[in-house]
Amino acid sequence: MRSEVLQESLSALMDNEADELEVRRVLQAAEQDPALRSTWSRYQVARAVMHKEPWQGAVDLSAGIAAALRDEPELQMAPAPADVKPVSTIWRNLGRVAVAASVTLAVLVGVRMVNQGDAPGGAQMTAGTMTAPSMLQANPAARSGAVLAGYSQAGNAGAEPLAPAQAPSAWHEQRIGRYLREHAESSAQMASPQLIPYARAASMEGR
Amino acid sequence: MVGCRCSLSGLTLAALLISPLVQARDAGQWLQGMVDASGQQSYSGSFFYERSGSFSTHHIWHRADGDGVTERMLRADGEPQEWVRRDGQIQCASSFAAVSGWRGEAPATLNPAQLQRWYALEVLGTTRVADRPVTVIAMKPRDAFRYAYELYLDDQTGMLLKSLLINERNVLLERFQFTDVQFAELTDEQLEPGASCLTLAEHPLEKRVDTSGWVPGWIPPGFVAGEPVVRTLAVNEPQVMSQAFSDGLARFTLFVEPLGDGALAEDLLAQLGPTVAVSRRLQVEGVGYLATIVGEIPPATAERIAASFPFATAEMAQ
Repeated sequence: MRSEVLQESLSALMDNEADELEVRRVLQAAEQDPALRSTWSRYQVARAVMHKEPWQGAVDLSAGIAAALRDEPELQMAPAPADVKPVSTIWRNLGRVAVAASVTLAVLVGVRMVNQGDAPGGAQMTAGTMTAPSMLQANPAARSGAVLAGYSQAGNAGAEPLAPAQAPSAWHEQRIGRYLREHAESSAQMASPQLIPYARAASMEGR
Repeated sequence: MVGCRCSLSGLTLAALLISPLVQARDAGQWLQGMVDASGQQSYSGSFFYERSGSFSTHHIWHRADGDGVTERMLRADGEPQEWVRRDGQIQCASSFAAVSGWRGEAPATLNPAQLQRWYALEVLGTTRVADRPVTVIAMKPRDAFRYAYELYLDDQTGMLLKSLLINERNVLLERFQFTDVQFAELTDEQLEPGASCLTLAEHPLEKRVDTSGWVPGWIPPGFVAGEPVVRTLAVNEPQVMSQAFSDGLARFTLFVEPLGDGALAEDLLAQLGPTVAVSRRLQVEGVGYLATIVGEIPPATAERIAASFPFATAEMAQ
């Protein structure tokens, strides 16, 4: 793979404009190329500074993104450039939006929006359908690491799709943010023996 | 500790006698020990908090004496953020969104006897956290309406040193964990906040109103409602009704506000780590409202509460 092409793909990925093919290309190359990984890492830090995002530069995102993409169907490659029809551009663009949206929502904000129709169980869920949760004893480290990176849900997308489909209105998004903080902060003011409500509230500050 | 003038074999004997005693404490007693520890122990230490999308590190200085409990919390990464709490009430904060200082008076007292009605308590075993031996208590919900917890309690003091929140599909949603802790008396200087910690302004009294029209038709069993209040969450914003609910451990808040011009909203479910937010549009006498449930409860529970409002709009009314 030529490095200019890779650099372009990487830029597109950082701008959330990469399509799936580009994402796969970068991931594949990054696996073998430490220099590319470090470039990616620097881009992340640079973007974090520009956007004032609290960012942990040490976190290597590539594994998580690869996990999110792993279960997706293989891309249908056009047989030859000459055969590419105009319609394929549209599909490329759709894929582009979907990949970008899932990456930004899960990583940068931490909020996952779920389409109402896809909510697991929905309101019909009753005590009878529930299996008692057994505790995490087998392999908590592996499991929790994956989950808290924000990607394992995307991995079992069949169970609970990450749905960037319908973005909420700016007003609604603002209200949800306000409610989340209000709830966390009022919880943190109870004389509780736990520090967790405080930690939850503090984790929402500066967003 | 057991006081004895013992020989080497006496020590061994004492150890043998003590360990069954320690194990004999049941999970409820461990939980009560955790509640008591907060009001009795002075300590300082460091902990981290992790959820989807966030990892933060913190210092705490916690003094318990005749005057009550004073705590100073300082976030150790990112922009410096500091809180000082006295008996749970915030004295000063360097960044704090809530203008009202609303506390949502839902019963928050952790009562082991009551909790056991909704959670099955179990001692899972022992391990080590922050270089101290701990005992692990599992709290598994007896129904589908709340999450499971794993609490790691210090063997010597009962203090909570680590906590995991686990959902119904066995996925870890949140981790809280001390990395080190020292039990020692604290000086006034150690509890003195920095200049960036701003005293909270006095707030006008919360308006208590008749909100009987906004009571959801269903809430999960064991959850007790706090006082509903109507207030603005920020300057130049419309008034919002809010009401807190708690089962003694888990907590959720109901927010209802009118949908005015330019206030576009759809039914929505959002998840931030352990906290879910579910919005529903309501229609009362031709006026649109948005009801939102926010809390550390499973999405299905929040959905069911949201679906139980008497005034749900037609498309969601089933």
